[in-house]
Order: sequence, then C-alpha cells, then structure tokens
Amino acid sequence: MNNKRNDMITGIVLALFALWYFYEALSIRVFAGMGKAVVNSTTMPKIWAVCLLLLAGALILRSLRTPAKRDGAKASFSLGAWVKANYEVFLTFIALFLYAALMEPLGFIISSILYIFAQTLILMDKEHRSYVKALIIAVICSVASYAIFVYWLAVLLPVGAIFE
Amino acid sequence: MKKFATALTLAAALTVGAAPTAFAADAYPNQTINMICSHGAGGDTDYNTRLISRMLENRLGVSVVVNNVTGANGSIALTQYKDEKPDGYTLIGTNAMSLASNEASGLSDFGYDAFEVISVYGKQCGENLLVRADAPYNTLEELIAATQKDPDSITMGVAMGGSSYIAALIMQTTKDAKFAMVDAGGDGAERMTSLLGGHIDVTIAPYTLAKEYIESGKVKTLCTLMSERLPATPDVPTARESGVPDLVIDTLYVLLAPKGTPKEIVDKLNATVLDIVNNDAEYKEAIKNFNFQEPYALSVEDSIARLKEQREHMMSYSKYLQ
Amino acid sequence: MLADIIPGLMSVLTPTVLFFIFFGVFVGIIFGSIPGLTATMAIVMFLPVTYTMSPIEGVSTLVALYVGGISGGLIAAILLNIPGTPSSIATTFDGTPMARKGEAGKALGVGVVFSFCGTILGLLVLVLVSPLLAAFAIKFGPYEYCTLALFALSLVISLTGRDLVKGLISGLLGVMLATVGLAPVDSAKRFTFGMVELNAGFSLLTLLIGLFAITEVIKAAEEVRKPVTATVETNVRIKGFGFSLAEFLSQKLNMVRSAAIGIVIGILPGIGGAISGMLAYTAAKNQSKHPEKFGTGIMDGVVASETANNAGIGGAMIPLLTLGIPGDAATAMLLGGLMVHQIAPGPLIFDKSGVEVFGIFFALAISAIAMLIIELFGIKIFIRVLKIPKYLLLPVIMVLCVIGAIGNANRMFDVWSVMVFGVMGYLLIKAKIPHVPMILGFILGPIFELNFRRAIQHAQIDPTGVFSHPIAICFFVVTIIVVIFSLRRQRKEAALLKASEES
Repeated sequence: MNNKRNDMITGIVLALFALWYFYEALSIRVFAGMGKAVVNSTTMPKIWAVCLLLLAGALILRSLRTPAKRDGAKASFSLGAWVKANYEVFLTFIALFLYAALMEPLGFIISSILYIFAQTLILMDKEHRSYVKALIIAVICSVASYAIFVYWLAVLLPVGAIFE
Repeated sequence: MKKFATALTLAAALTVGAAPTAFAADAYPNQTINMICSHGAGGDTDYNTRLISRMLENRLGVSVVVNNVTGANGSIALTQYKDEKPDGYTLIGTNAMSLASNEASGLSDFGYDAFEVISVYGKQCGENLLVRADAPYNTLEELIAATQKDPDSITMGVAMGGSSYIAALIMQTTKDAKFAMVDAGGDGAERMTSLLGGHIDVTIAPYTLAKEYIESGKVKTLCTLMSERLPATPDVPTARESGVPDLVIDTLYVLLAPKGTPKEIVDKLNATVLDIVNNDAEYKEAIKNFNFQEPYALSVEDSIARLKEQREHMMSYSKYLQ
Repeated sequence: MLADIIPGLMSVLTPTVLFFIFFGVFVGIIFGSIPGLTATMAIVMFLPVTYTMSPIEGVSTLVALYVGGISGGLIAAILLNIPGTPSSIATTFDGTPMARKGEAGKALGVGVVFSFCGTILGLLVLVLVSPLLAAFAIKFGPYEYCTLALFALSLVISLTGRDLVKGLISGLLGVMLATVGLAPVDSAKRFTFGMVELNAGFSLLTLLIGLFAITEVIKAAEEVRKPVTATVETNVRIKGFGFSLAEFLSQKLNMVRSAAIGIVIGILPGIGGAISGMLAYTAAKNQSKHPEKFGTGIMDGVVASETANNAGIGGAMIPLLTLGIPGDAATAMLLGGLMVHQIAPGPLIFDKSGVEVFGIFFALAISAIAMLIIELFGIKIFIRVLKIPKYLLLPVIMVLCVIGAIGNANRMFDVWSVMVFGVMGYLLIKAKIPHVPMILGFILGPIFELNFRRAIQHAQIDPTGVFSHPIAICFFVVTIIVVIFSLRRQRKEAALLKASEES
C-alpha cells in the first residue's frame, strides 16, 4: 500500500475511533460528591478525542494531497489475499489466540506445548523443518517453566479445567 | 407407626447427609489453600494477610499460598473470586473498608454478604488527623472552629471516596466544618508528602506512616479516628472524645470465602484464626512491632455484625460517593 | 551517624549476605532480561521469603534483586529488540541496530558498564545529598507534576522521527488507552463497558509485551518465506568490555547528564525508569553533535538509556529512605520489606537505623559490582542467544512473556490483553505509526491528568496559587520552548529527507 492510501485509510479509521471515543466519554459518570468541579472525569477524554480527530483530519488531508504513485496498487483490499500473502502471520495470530483460549481449559503445560510446537513450525522454513525438534523443545520448555514458576516461585499458572 | 417410620427415615437421611460433611470437615484441609490478597504486596492489608496465612499454615498443616490480585481498591480480586468453588481451598484476604466503600460508591454491586465471612481478624492501628507542626491548632475543636471562622481557607487533602473523604464529610455534615477539599492521593504516604510540602494543611493517614514524622516533630496529630485510643499513643485523644462523636473509622482486616462454603469449614477456620490471634506469641509480637496493632479477632457472628455496621455507616454516605 | 559507617559495612561483608546479594543480582538479571518478567515482580516474589531473614540479609537481597532487575532489561533489549523491563525501552533504539550491525557484544558491554556507572553515581548522590534532595522533592506538588508531565509528553515530538502527525497520533492513542479503567481523583468508571476486568485498566507490562514481543514474532513470521538476507556475522569474541577507553571517555558528558536525569526522575515518585531512559536518550540526541546518527546504532544511545535507568535506582531510594515515599512499584515493595524488618524510613532513619542504612548503601554498591561481574561474564553466553534460530527462541520467549503477564496480577485478562495489543502492534506497523510514543503517552497521560485535575482543584480555591509555584512555571515555559524548537527542527529534517528522496 502506498502512502496515500495508507494515510487515507488510517486517517478515516482513527477519525471514526475518535468520534466513538468521544461518544463513550459522554456517558462517564460525573462524581457528584465534590460539588462543582470545573474539570471532571469526562474532560480529558473529550479533549483527547478532539485532538485525535484533528490529527486524523490532518492525515486525511495529507493523503488527499499526496500524488498517487503509479505502481499498479490494487484498488481493493481483500482479506483472502492478505491471508495468502501473509500466511505465517495469519497462522501466528491464530496460534496466539488459541493459546490464550486453551490455557484455562487445558492448563498451562499442555497449551504451552501445543503453542510452542505450532509456533516453531510456523516459523521454520522448509529446509529447517523438523517436527521432532519442535516437539522436544516444546515439551522441555513448557514443563521446565511450569516447574520453576509454580513450584519454586508460586505463580498461579492455570492447572487446566479438565484436570480439576 | 407411619409417623415413627417417617421420623426414622428422616433421621437416617439426616445422618447419612451429615456424615460426609462431618467427614469432610475433619479431612479439611488436605491440600494447598489459595489465599487471594486484594491489595498489593508490601501494604498493610497484604502484610496482615500474609502473616495470618503463615500462621494458618503452621496450624492447619497445609500450604497456604498468598497471591495478590490487585486493582480498583480491591474490587478486582473480590469480583473475580467471589464465585469460586466453595470448597474452602480459595480464601480471600481483604479489608472491610474496601468492601464497604466499593459498595457505597457503586464500584461493586455487592457487599460483604456476597461472601461467607470467616473472620474479622485484625484492626488497623488507626488513621490519625494530621497537621504540620507549626499549625496554630492543637485540638480537633480548634481546627473545626478555624474552618468556620474562615471557610475554605484550610485545605484538607483526601482520597476521593476513601476513608479520609468520609471523615471530612462527617465533619462537614455533623459539625459544619468548612474545609476546602482537594484530592491528595489514595495512598497515605502521598498525602503525608503533600502535607509536608505545604500543598495541603490537613490530612488523614495511618499511624504507621505518620509515626516517624510525629516523633521527629515535623507533624502533629490532633486525634485518632479509631473508636478507642491507640495503646501505643495513649495521649492522643480520639475524634469522638474531641467533640465529633460520629467520626469513627476503624479499618478491619477480614478473611472471606466464596458463598456456599460449608459452615463446618468456616467455623474451623474461624476457630483457628481466633486461636492464633489471641494465643500465638509470635503473631502478637509481629503485628505489634510492624503495625502497632493489638490482637483483635471476632467470631463469625460478631464479624458479620461488625461488617454490617461498617457497611451501613458507609452506605449512609453513599450519595456523596456516587 | 558517621560512627555507623563501619558497622554498616561489616554487617554486609558476611558470607551469607554476600551470597544473598550475588544470588539476588543473578536472579534479578534473569527476571530483568526475560521480557514479561520485571524487577518489580522479582521483588514481589521474594519479599515474603525475606520476612524470615535478618534485616540486613532481607533488605540486601531485595536491593540486589532491584539492581539486577533494572539492569537485566538491556540484554533482551539489545539481543531481541524486546525490552526486558520498561526501563530498557530506550535501549532498543540504538541497542538493536548495533546488534544488527554485528556489534552486539559492544552494545552489551557498553550497557553493562554504564549501568554500573549509573548505579554508582546514583548511589553517591543518595549517600551524599539525600536530605537536600528529599526536601526538594517534597516541594513538587500538583502544579509541578502537571507541567513536568506536559514537558515529558512534549518529548514525543522529539522521538517521532520523520512523521510528526503519526507520532502525535501514537502518543494520543497511548493516552487514550490509559484512560480505560477508573479515573484519577474520583474513580469514575471509564470505558469499562461493564467488564469488571477493565476496571483496573490495562497494565503497562501487557502493552509492552504486546507491542514489542508479539511484533517480533510477527516480524519473524513475515520473514519465513522471504529470501534470507545475508546476516551479519556477530563477533562472538569480544575483548574486555567490548569498547575502548577512548570511547568510554568520550561519553563522560553523556553519562553525567543521563545520570542526573535518571536521578531526578527517580526522586520524583510515580514517574519511572521508562521515562528517564527516554528523556536521557532525547537529551543526548538533542545535545549531540551528530543527532542524525541516533537510531542507527551508536553507543551514545545505549549509554544514555542505561545510565539513566540505573541512576534512577539511587534516585528512587532517596525518597524511599528519607521520606518513606516509594518512587515506583519496585521501591514500594522495598518499603514493605524495610518496614517488616523494623527499619522505619523517614526523617529519623539515620538516627534510629543508621547501621542498617549504611548497610543498604554498601549492599547497593556491592550489588552494582556483582552485576558488573556477572553480566560481563555473561555477555559471552548472552551473545550466543543470537545464534539460536528465531524459530526456536521466539516461541519460548512468548511463553515466558505469558507467564509474566499472568504473574503480573494473576488473571487471564492480562494474557488476552497481550494478544490484542499484539494485533494492535501489527496494525500500527502496517499503518506506519511508531509505537514508542504510545508507551510515553500511556505512562504520562494518567500522571498529567491526575495532577492537572488536582492543580485545578487548588486553583479553584486560590486562583493566584499558580504564581507561587515558580518550578511549575519554569517547566511550562521550557516545554513551550522545546516544542517550538522541536517543531522547527522536525520541519528542517523532514524537508531535508524529502529533498534527498526526490533527488
């Protein structure tokens, strides 16, 4: 994406966000106990929202002024195309979110093993691909971290709902 | 004949029903207990929670692991853990002020009655009303009179929604004191610094924080907000004695369990806590030296009564806390 | 009081205490270097353990953890581009480019040595002038903090690189992100949408991990299929510290100035090492003869950041010991540790606990030495981390980060926050919005708002009050000057860059 489109989309998204933020800020409860206060909990959020709106506007203006580069930039953006072009990134996000989601049901050890295994494979390119290596690292690191942090340092890592 | 049979069946059912629970109470605890502390490590709630946990460990023979789940004046921990499994292996250590003020201010939609109360097991050494050493007033009455003579000239640093704020409100509503209230921080130490730096004229802070400054003569305390004089400072009058009878704020440390925890477990824990607080020499010495606390622990019924009292007290000010 | 020096020294020079110090520094470095685990966490975890130790043992351990933790952050910052602790954010600015140029050993050496120097400088100030500085620190009230935060926020302009608008947007987004939760002063619920977890707001740690660590993993994922660019061979063998005496001396002004900044920020409660590192970096860049080289991998950047954040340790101990006011989360824990051992901080601390206080000073000095030794030996090992392929290293780092996120406040919400911030970080990169100003905004926004509102409260009572706060007025004026100058420089730089691009 060239700068023009980049700025334009970013600007629009940010402007919408700023408007939504301002709207939400209006429903913040004003503390009645202090009597009259010029500045209250809605003041700063409103100011920030306005600032963001102005900056987003500046961005949009700037994008309108930049000449469009003639390099055959795609006119539309499709999720499918992005996924295909950034397959590993897509998989990484999936892996990360699954990791978070599975942590409580399956427990720390199992979900970490799964995650490390998956993530390592995602990051390995064809010539280095080794399922065995990934699995070994996954198991060792997960178990070792759990042991150190739970038994020695008493961090509350999820045990796993299926085990309770 | 039929009645007799029914009675017998009923009795049998009750025995069968009671047996497992009785059995369970004897077997409790048989695994690690998770103690959640609602406030940050290093503070007085945390210290008390950890101390009582350590003592419980000794008495109960199982590990009691303390974990801090901090945030939002304790409400994060309380909300997160109030619906935990009521098997007695998750307990919460917090202070009663947080419970009551969160409910009164609307931060939480529940109070102490959303939990099983195990015990009120400690009382803080009290909040003291402090002014700088060179201030012209020596008693609470003089201070209040000064505010009435010249309204809004004396700045009081409070933590909005906290006990210091409530104290200021009580003085304002019952004695017509006219302080100019400013926010000076939820942390007593922050308010003390503000006082020393001359940004505010009056504030309220726990005695543990103020002690050094009182002794070195930088700050003087006009009174304590506890219900009785603190044994460590017998010459400091209470606010009640100084003419503001409604100004009583006791911060209590309390142990809670999720609702539905079996009565036997609650009673057993309560008995153990009472035993520790009243009889354990190491415990008594620790709290005295660290926090100038005197042993103070209540039975389950008394604890509930005390919490109810605090909650009603706070709720009466809830319109100022919204 | 001076009579307590020797007993203080002797109390620390026992085998047990020395062992605890070395152990503490070692563990602290590990905590500091693993992204997601911080110095504060280390202290929190070991605090209960120290309750049963003797006072000097316990406090020395905590001090050692603190020193190790703050300095350990540079390791991950340089080697992985992920700050190990918030204090080392600014170290990534030049540390990572240096590593990419093959100068990782030098960067580490510089970081370690100047961390040591910073700690010692902070300690000297702590020992010699604490009462004076404490009295100065008390004078900082809402007006001063408000204008100071404004001043620091104006730094965003200096740190935004080429695109001012995007930098400001980033800072603003950070500020807005920080408004989620309970508002300052009146604890009104803001942007919580009825979710209890949001009442506490987001934590800096999760933002840091999401923006820095997850983006590293994403970057690695993006590069899997790309052709492998020739990787610069890292010089694994370094001589001594990795840099020459001449280079060391060339940094002496930088070092002193950065230490001063670190100490001042450390003394002022509530600001923290991240800000001091960034402030020092910006100051070094602005006052340097070759500002354009900053960010490309010169040692000045690492020197500034690491000296400042370590000097902040001594700085934070000043209000801690003389006033009982903790300067940051880590010192708040230290305060708890001190009080448990009956060392009551406050104006009487030298009279009542003189021996212990000098013990603490010496423990701090010995911790610094221990840190220097351990890290210098460790550099050779640390560098080998670079040889581990990213596909093995990064997933494991992520798991450790997650542990850190959980350990932060014991809730899964933080883990989810990390993931969401990771997505946000990716979007920011795609939108070409820098993420460092966001961190600045996130930290400074609340400080500014809190003190601004308090200042207004004071002003409502006494409208002329602001004029009796010369320090605040000073800061405000300086901010305006800095903003004007920075804007002018930005314009010049941007024009220059545009000209060079178009030609």
